[in-house]
Amino acid sequence: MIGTSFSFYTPSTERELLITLSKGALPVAGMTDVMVKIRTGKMKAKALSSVSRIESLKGVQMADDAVTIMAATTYTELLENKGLKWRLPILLDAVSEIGSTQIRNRGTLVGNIVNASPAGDGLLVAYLLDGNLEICSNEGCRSVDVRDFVKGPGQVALAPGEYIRSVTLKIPPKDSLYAFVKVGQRSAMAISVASVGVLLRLNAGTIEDFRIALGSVAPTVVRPLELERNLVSLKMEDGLFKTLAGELMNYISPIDDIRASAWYRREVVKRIVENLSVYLKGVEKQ
Amino acid sequence: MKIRFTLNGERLEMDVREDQRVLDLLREELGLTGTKEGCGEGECGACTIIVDGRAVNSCLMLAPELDGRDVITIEGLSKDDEPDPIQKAFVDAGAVQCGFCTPGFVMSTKALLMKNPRPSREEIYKALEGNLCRCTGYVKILEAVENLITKEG
Repeated sequence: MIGTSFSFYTPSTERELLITLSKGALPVAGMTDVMVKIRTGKMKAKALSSVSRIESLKGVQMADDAVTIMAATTYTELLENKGLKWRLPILLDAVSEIGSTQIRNRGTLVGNIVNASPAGDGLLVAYLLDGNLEICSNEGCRSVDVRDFVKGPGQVALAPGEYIRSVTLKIPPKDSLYAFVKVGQRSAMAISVASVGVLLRLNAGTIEDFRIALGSVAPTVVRPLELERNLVSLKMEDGLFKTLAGELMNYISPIDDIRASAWYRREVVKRIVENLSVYLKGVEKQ
Repeated sequence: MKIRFTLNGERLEMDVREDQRVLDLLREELGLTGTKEGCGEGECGACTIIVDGRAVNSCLMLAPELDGRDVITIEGLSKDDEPDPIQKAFVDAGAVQCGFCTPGFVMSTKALLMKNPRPSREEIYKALEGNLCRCTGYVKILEAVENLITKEG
């Protein structure tokens, strides 16, 4: 048994979902984290309301410059979506390493964002791709950047009565190189010890766009925007990634925990960034 | 709460508790104890069942979520007292020791082969990565699945 009793709703429309939320239910999707949190007493809920049967919250919408992923779309559905392979390959790289097949068959990207773990690999990609959430309630919908939505580990700016409809991710500039590197104790099911996501666009050897996001090394995912801006217009030279790795150390504040020490996390991030050229991949054409 | 679903080819209608896990519904209410509880946290895969063609952890799912779904458990595989070819392959390869993880591995394999009858080694690894075995060291389990594919091909 799960240990506590609660109500569970499975609305089939967003209107019905709102009614359940007004009764105090928390919106949930694949519940791969929620069920564990309830069982271990880390989360207490009188009522849960699942978005997974709501047709209008399923699927992926493509625009020229962005991709909108609806809240009930599972990781497996993202991996099977052919249109994402060249639009957002870094997302698929990260998603294919989340959990296991069973978890990916249920878990969702929006759920990973709401869970707000600093080790969330989907959350890291949402930071990197300037993710924007559509949050709705009885009063209407608002749009919030993922970076402003996440307040701390497990803490997000979602008010009672609100649910997330979708997350919109920006498609990186054409011909961007990308890398997603995750270090964990084993490949399946392992929570990241540290993870690094990078997008880089070069024009004749000069950096035109650079983005980096770091996971598991601070209370939330780190995106050092100032450092990124300073790299733009620089020549891509030997030693640049080494300098970058050194500077990044000022932006992270890892802790010792059951998975790794703070020292190890710093070292891992440093080594990955120093050797970024090994990990960077080009986007395969359509 | 009343739900209707198909379980191993049979249509069922029953009253369930809203907060009951699918794992408990199967084991406690329906007496289908082939589905095992290992970790109860989605780490070990011993409770794997197939819902609408996809392998899922029944310990992380609530009973009302089965409404309208097509569910297969380990009990649904054998026909006319004959084991499923996957079960046979596991026995033939010696992929079973204590047996506790076996139903989960068999169900993950079944879900894989339903979607992809000729998976690559990489695809087999990926499909079975959510299942833990503490006895066999995995080699014989992977052999069982690979033997099955070569035989069927």
